[in-house]
Order: sequence, then structure tokens, then C-alpha cells
Amino acid sequence: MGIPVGMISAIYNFALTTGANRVIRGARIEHVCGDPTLSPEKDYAFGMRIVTTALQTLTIAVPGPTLFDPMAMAPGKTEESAAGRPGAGAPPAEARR
Amino acid sequence: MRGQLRVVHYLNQFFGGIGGEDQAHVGVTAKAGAVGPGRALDKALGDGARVEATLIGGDNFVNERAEEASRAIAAELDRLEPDVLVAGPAFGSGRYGLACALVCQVAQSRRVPAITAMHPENPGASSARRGIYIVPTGASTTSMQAALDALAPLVRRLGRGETLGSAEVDGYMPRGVRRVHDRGRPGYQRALDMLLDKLHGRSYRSEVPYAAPERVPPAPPIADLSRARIAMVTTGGLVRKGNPDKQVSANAVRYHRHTVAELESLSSSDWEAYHAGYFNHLVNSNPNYILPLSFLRDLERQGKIGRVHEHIYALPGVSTPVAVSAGHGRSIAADLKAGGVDGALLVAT
Repeated sequence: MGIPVGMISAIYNFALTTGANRVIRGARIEHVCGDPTLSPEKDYAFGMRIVTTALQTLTIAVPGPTLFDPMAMAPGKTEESAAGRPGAGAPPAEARR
Repeated sequence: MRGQLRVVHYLNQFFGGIGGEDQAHVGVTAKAGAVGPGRALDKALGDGARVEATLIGGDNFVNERAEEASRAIAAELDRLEPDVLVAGPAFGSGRYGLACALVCQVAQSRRVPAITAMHPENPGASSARRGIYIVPTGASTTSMQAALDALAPLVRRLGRGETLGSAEVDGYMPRGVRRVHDRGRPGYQRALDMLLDKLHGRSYRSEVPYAAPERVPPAPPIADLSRARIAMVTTGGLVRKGNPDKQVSANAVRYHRHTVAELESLSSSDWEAYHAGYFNHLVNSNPNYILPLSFLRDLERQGKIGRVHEHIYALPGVSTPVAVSAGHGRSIAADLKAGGVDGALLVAT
């Protein structure tokens, strides 16, 4: 049985078209898990959002290459409700193809 | 019109009738005429060509003492003066495939045209196919006759001093060689014809070969993240400060495994990036951007994840052939599996 992998990438379309199954949209190529233009606190919170989204993808069954966008998740929602209901108003997962 | 083409055939100790693994150390010997599969090759070649001699080398000898083996083969070729050399088929046998590739290279260096046959995934094919003609075969000897039938016409043509046509037409493995030639009509016309064919549902053929990416069935999800062991992998070229492990900055031939069991976070005084594909300076100020250890440690403390795996995996993901990358991926995955890892984050720059 395989090990689920969350692939965090700023060029997420490459990851999707080459067959990565759980793809998380990262910030930018030079700073995938964060943003140095933000204050240290906001930078950390932004990176944490990307990383927690990536971890959540490991708990979600996917049919094939699927994009998860940390910024599409509605703030204030609990991780469980956001991750567990991909069809909800602010979907965490945007399936491509 | 000259007479029959003189063919020299190369076999390993097994196909050459010397013995099995216990004889893999034997040096290069020459026998008159065809031996073993050489007889079937001789038949497939027909009347115009004949296997004059067979060179036999032990697989271990040829691979472990390549220079000595090359000299011996070169000397035999100089003595025998063949019109063409055939090596194998080697099918899926790795050492035999590498030996066949080496023998073909030696022959070519003596201006003797050469060709071999083996399974496309044989290391001999993946390592040497750019330099030599290799006819693809099945993985086992059951495809012997088909391999010889495919070889024979190419052997005859090479023996006559002909240059083979394209890999696509003549059926050998692409060598990555591009020849300039005139297709008769300019590219824009061919492209428009292709587009019209596509729009009308007619069949068309792209001039750009496309290798479809491998599809991997998604791994099942983790039931409980709070009990899961999570590992981190990065293709961002993360190295220890000063690159003491001498990681390359592109075209990775290996991955690097580091231990983070004692670390709370990746400090810029101890870690940096060495990667030819992006500006590394921001990562050098905060390496956690490409390997999020600081975040995972916080989540571990909060009980959101079970455990951070003690090893991290790093390589520069740039300019690496897909087959090589897949090999790195398989090795890392096997290591994660052996380490009891439940899930992994892969950060790609």
C-alpha cells in the first residue's frame, strides 16, 4: 500500500499534469511555504496555512491529480469541516480534469 | 560486388556455452564460426552474411575490468576485420546488456559498425543508447527469434556500410540524434493540416514525440493525523551550510538524507539551498520555506500530527531525466516505507 504524499508547489500545474495526486498550491518558487514580504508573524501564519492544508490532503481520498488551494479555504472554518466537505461553499479542493 | 559480409558476434559466458554465474569471471575468448544463438542469427542473416567468429566474455570480467576487456575485444576485431559486429541479444540481463553496449562502443572506435539488442529497461540501454544502435527486445529469451529477425536486416545494412534511417522507421531505440532533412512543406502548412485533421476528427501524427506521464493510483488517506508519522522531502536543493556532502546543483544523480531528530527548525546558519533552477537567496535566509520543519514541530507539539520523521530527503529537482527522477522517487519511497512513515510532504520549487 502506498504512502500519501502532499506535493506543495507554486507551479502546481506541472505537478498536476505530471500525475501528482495531492497537490497544494504554494506561495512562490523562491519561497514555497511562506512569504518573506510579510511581517514575520504573518509570514509564519501564511506558511502554516499552506502546511496544514498539505497535511489535511493526506487525510482525504482523491480520485486522481487534485489541487488544493490554501487560500480558497474560508478563514474561521475548522480544519475538519473545511477538509471534510469539499463540496461546501468555500471548497478547499478544486479538482482539475 | 564483394562476397559474404563478415559478421563477428559477441556473447557472454552463458550464451557462449562456457558456463553460468560460476564462469562470469572468464576473460575474452574467440571461437571460429557461430556459437549458441549465433547459429540462429546466422540463419536469420541469410546467404549474404555469415557469422565468421564469436567473441565470448564473462559478464563480471567485462564489467569489472572494462579497460582490459576493451583492449582484448579491440585486438580481436583488428585481427578478424569484420564488416559488422553484433552483440547479444542481452534481453533483461543488466551486466550482459552493459557488456554488449561496451563491445559496440569498442567496435565503433575501431570503425566497425555495431548493433546490439536488449530490453529497453536494461541498464545497458538506458546508459548507452545515445551512442549505439540497440534493437528493443522482450525481457527474456522467449523473444530470441523475434529479436534476431529484427536485428538481421539492420546487420546486413550496417555491414554494407549503409547508414540506418530514423529510429522510428528502422525500429531501433531512439538515440536522441536529430538529422536535418527537408520534409517538403514548411512547418506552418504541416501544422495547419494537422489542426484541420484534428478538427475534422481525422487521424494525424504529431512531429513532437510525447511521453505520457506515469499515472500512479492515489495512496489511501491517513485515518488519524494525530497518530501519523510524517516525513518531509524537498526538491529545492536543501544542503547543510557550505554543502559538505557535495550535492550537485542540477541533474541529481542521488538524493541526500539528513537527520533532523534533534532540530526544532532549519536555521539559516546551518542550512542553505544549492539549486541551479531558482534564486536561492530567500531560502538561504529561511530554509523552512522549502522544508517546513519549524511548522511540523509546532504541529507535533500541539498533537495535530503524531511524529515528525527523523530523516529528511533532499535533492535539486532540475534538469533531471524523468527515468532518473523516478528512480530517486522509488528509493526515497522505499526508505520512507521501511521507516514506518504514514504520510509525506514534498516541497517542490
